[in-house]
Amino acid sequence: MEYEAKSGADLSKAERKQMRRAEKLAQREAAARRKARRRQLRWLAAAGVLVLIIAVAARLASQPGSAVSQPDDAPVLAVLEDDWVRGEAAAAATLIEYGDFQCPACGAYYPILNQLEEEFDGQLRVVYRHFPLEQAHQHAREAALAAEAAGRQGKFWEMHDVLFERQTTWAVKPAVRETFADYAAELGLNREQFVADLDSPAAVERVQAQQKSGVRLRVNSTPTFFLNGERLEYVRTYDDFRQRILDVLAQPAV
Amino acid sequence: MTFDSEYSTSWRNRLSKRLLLIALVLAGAGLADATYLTVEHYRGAIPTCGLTGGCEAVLTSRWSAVGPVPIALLGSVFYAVVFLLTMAAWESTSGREVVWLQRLVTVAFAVTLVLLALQAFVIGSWCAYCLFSAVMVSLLLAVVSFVRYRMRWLSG
Repeated sequence: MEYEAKSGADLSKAERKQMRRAEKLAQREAAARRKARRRQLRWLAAAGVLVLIIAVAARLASQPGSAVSQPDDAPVLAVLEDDWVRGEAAAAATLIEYGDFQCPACGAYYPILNQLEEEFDGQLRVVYRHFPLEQAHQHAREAALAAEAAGRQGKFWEMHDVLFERQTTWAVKPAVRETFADYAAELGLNREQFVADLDSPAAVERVQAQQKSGVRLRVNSTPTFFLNGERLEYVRTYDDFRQRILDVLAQPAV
Repeated sequence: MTFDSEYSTSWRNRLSKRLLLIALVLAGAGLADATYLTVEHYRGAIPTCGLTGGCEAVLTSRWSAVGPVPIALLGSVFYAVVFLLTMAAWESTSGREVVWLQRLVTVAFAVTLVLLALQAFVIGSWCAYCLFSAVMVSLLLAVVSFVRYRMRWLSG
């Protein structure tokens, strides 16, 4: 302070002016540098946030749900007497599907399952259980009942196939009863009997019971698959399924 | 420059910057949403049918992709660009970025309207992720348009 004052007194007026100007310039430059640094930091932060958002979203997308089944699920996961089963009873692999005939995802899995049944003929049996999501699919319950009604005349699986194959046709119709009756007739079923069976309490009860068993297994979306009692999560392509079945077949029989 | 005009100008700038910050948040939320769907798409995941329903029908429909490119990916790229452009607009003094932002978001809004119409009239189902994105785009358009309007008003 003292030094400055002394030297300031020694300087001429022009020199002092020049010094002030230089000082101001230096200040301005420092401010500009600070500003640039802050700007860089902002961009860095923005890039970081961008990467973080993408990473978190991607992580969430690939996260499987909880897949653990409880011990008390065992009786439900066994193949029951009144289950609809396709394939050899002695097959080493049993795949239970909780499905909804109007669910597009179930429709998308349908050809995959067909292909699997063909490839693992004799080693794989498939069980279909109803899990109609009525809030989302207005004809889901009626379709389940149609399959049951066809089942009473011995053609559950034939109706199951037709319902999935023509899902996009009937799903958009305002009313489907007649359409289903047409499908039944096409399959060679007695039409009147089929229509009467659509309302049969036994069918209604069976659909309800199967849905209840699904709720007990914490099924909350369709299709949900159980392979030899183990819930399959994120098995979404033919090859995924194939691998899981091969794994099961490779295990020694208990 | 009088004290008065300087004061009011700085006030407006501050408001514009706040609005841009909101746009940044909206773009970030949209990016998360679209990226989630993009990753699901490329994992080959068939969206299963949940209790509330709708998503699976929309996301498995043939309208969910343009050729080989899923719309979700286009959405991700769009939101990332909006995010960076908003950042640039924040730093910029010229306001050119805001003009581009407005153009881009307007196009996206038009595309969103088409997608909403498809869900309503063709597919007949609604997908929550898609609706969320529609809300983000609409809010973005409102915010960006307002910033643009203020900018014009200030310069003109």
